[in-house]
Amino acid sequence: MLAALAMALALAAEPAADRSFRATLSNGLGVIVCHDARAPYVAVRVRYHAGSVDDPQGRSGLAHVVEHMTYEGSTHVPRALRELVELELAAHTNNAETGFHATDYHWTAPPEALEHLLWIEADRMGFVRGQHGAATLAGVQRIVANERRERVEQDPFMGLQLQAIAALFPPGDPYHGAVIGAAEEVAAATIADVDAFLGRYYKPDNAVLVIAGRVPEETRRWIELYFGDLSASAQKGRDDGAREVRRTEETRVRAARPVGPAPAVLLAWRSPGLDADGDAAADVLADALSHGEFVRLARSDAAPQIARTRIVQQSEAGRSIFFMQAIGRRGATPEAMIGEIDRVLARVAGGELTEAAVRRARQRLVREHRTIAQDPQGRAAQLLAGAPCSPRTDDEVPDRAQWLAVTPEAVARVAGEVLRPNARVAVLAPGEAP
Amino acid sequence: MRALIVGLSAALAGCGANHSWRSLPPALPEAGVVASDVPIEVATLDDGRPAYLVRRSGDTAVVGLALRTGPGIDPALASFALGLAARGRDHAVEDALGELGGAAEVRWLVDGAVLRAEVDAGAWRPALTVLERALREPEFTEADLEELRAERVAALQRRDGDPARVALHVLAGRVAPMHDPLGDDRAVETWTDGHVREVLSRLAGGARAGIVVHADARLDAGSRAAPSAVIARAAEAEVRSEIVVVPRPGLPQTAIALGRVVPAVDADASLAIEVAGVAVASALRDVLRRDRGATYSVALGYAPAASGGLLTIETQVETGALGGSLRAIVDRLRELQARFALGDQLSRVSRAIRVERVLACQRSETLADLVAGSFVAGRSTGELQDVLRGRGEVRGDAVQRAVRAYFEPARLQIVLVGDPERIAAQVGGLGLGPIRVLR
Repeated sequence: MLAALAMALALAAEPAADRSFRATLSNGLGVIVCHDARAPYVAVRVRYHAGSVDDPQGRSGLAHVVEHMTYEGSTHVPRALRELVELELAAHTNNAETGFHATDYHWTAPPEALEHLLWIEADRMGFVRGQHGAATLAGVQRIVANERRERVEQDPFMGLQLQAIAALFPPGDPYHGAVIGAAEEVAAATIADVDAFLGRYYKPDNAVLVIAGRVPEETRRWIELYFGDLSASAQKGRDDGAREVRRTEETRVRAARPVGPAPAVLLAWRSPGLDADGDAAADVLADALSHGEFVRLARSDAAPQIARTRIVQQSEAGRSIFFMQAIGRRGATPEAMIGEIDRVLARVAGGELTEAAVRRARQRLVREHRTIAQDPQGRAAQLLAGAPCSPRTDDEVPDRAQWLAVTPEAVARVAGEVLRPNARVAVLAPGEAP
Repeated sequence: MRALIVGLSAALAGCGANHSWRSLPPALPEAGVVASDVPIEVATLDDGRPAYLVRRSGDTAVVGLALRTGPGIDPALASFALGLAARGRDHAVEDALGELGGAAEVRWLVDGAVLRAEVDAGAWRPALTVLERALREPEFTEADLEELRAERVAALQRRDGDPARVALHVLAGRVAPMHDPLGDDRAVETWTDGHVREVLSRLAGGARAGIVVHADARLDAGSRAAPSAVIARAAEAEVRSEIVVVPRPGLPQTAIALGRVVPAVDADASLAIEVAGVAVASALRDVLRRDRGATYSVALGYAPAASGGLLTIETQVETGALGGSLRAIVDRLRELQARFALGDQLSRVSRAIRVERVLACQRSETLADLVAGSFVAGRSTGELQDVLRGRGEVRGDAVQRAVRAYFEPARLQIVLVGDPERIAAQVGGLGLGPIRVLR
């Protein structure tokens, strides 16, 4: 059996002693291993290319429910046993994130825990389906319902975001329900739905395993042993990149409830997809506006309306979203705040964001990328995004190279062509009456 | 539960011959605490102030100024004033650091604060100069002050929109005000140019230290020096006299925060409190999340400080399940008070916490904050080195003492954020004290 397993790993041609490698197993599992002898710990990250865009019709939130179900145990790793291993081996950062297009599971642990973590993750990949009944699912649904309340319903600002996403992507669009899904659809999920999702997407040919940090010598063998015989044939995640619809009219939505004494607005645009033309420029624009440039460009004869902004390009494989959240000054109105934002974006589109401001934003983004690489888990996430294991220059790291190439003209183009007033959704929250 | 753990331990240890390789876990290795050696050098600069050099290689460097504030300073005003200095006249300081790939951040450390920036590795010296000048010669106009004041009021509104953060803010205000660097908006409105300059002058003239986290930095240093210990013991927490309610009708969940002040303790006692906290949080999570299905998360916070640390338990539960949940929290804490033993789990939990501490130091900015925290609390760098090296001893009786001393329900202040009427209906009869609704 071991000989067969050894055959399963189609390794790249590298020196045997090199612990860093990229490979694809014969069952389709992508493998990225990046050894760093200076790191005291090792990070493990498994990404499934399945997220909320893969939720079946009427079952929004299912990908997230499935993420929770995988923590309830698998054929060979009951939940209690996994928790004991975690404690026994001091394995940390055991968590997961479900996004629109992917679900990631991650750990950071001492190197001696790695073999156990691979054993656990391989069991998650191949042996959760069919293990649980309705009672387990009901418990998970209750936890997820409480997570939804805590993260979304309790905080009125999160409510604005949910409203913006629902308005930006019409019913039927896979982005419409956001990742967390509608409460009633989460409650309606059945164990058959969960097993069908696992059967379709939790397969090696729909996943990538990343290991970064202090990697033990035996790592290749462990990967072969634990993942090599898992069967393939996943249904690939949905590709929604081609279904872009150009908006021609602004949508204004009133917030479901006030957010406090001062008004707030949340503007959202569909923006260039991850790594597409304009994605890096949108990052640079968001960073520059967040570090003093919004205030400078907003100056006019009129009294300032906006007190605080939070601006972010949320890059997604399919369709990204550019968010501008603003809290007003006391006495401001949402409409006047939107006027101030329009004035700023018009100035950016007109080329008023200076070369120096763009340069500073580029440098901050590149430095922050280096900062994230300091811990193995951040490094693992960057490897998944295409970063090489040991870059010698910033040009070798795709994200950094893209940011460094952004010009003031590219930023102006994003402001003028993407962040058009008639292409956005605006959620308006007036201030509470005193 | 302990019996189950013992049983599973046996299962882990044995590798029966009748099972496939997938059915049994790999053999358990000897697990230790791996730590990277991060030397910390302390030097005295020409002006007599100490400077800490943390030798950590990497593509970035962190520079900072640790400022010991001492008692009597308003944490909200001090952090606001530092924020203004870090921004500079029309964002000039922010721009200068941006050219070096960085941005200034102010972290409140209870016994003081740190003004720091992470920049490109080769730019540590000019960045430190920018920060030094921003503190010693702060430049800002009335317009800059007004801009940051409006921003702070908005940040407070953002905080107040989140019931969990409101609960922790009110709790800190009641039991440990030095742990609350945001304060409230009424105070912000009253701060003037004079207030800000006065507090900045006091911070610049007080005890402070430079910090550089970078492998190749050289400091112009005289003799080595270590800060003197200034650990002060805070007052013991009093018995709770009332339950505080922040009105937020209409929420699906009620936020619960319980907490108390904790006197300054040494490193081993601090580790014992952390171990106790992990055990308590785990027990409460089992009761509230798994057994009762009433919550998504239970978080335990412990922020030690020389002037008095803050211990908190925070959760949000379904509003209809508030009374039962609060009763369950108090009952479980009482049970742990009466009967608490981690047994053979003690060393594992202790090791897990030490690993977690080392893991937290993977980022240079965290290292800088820890060094600054040591300085402002007057602790030796030796203690910090022990943390970075994953050292620390904890004994079962010390953890037991920590549970008894710091998790006694009657000494935990309770703050609830939700609908006052529904809270009164469910909590009024629990015998936890009278309810006081804030207006």
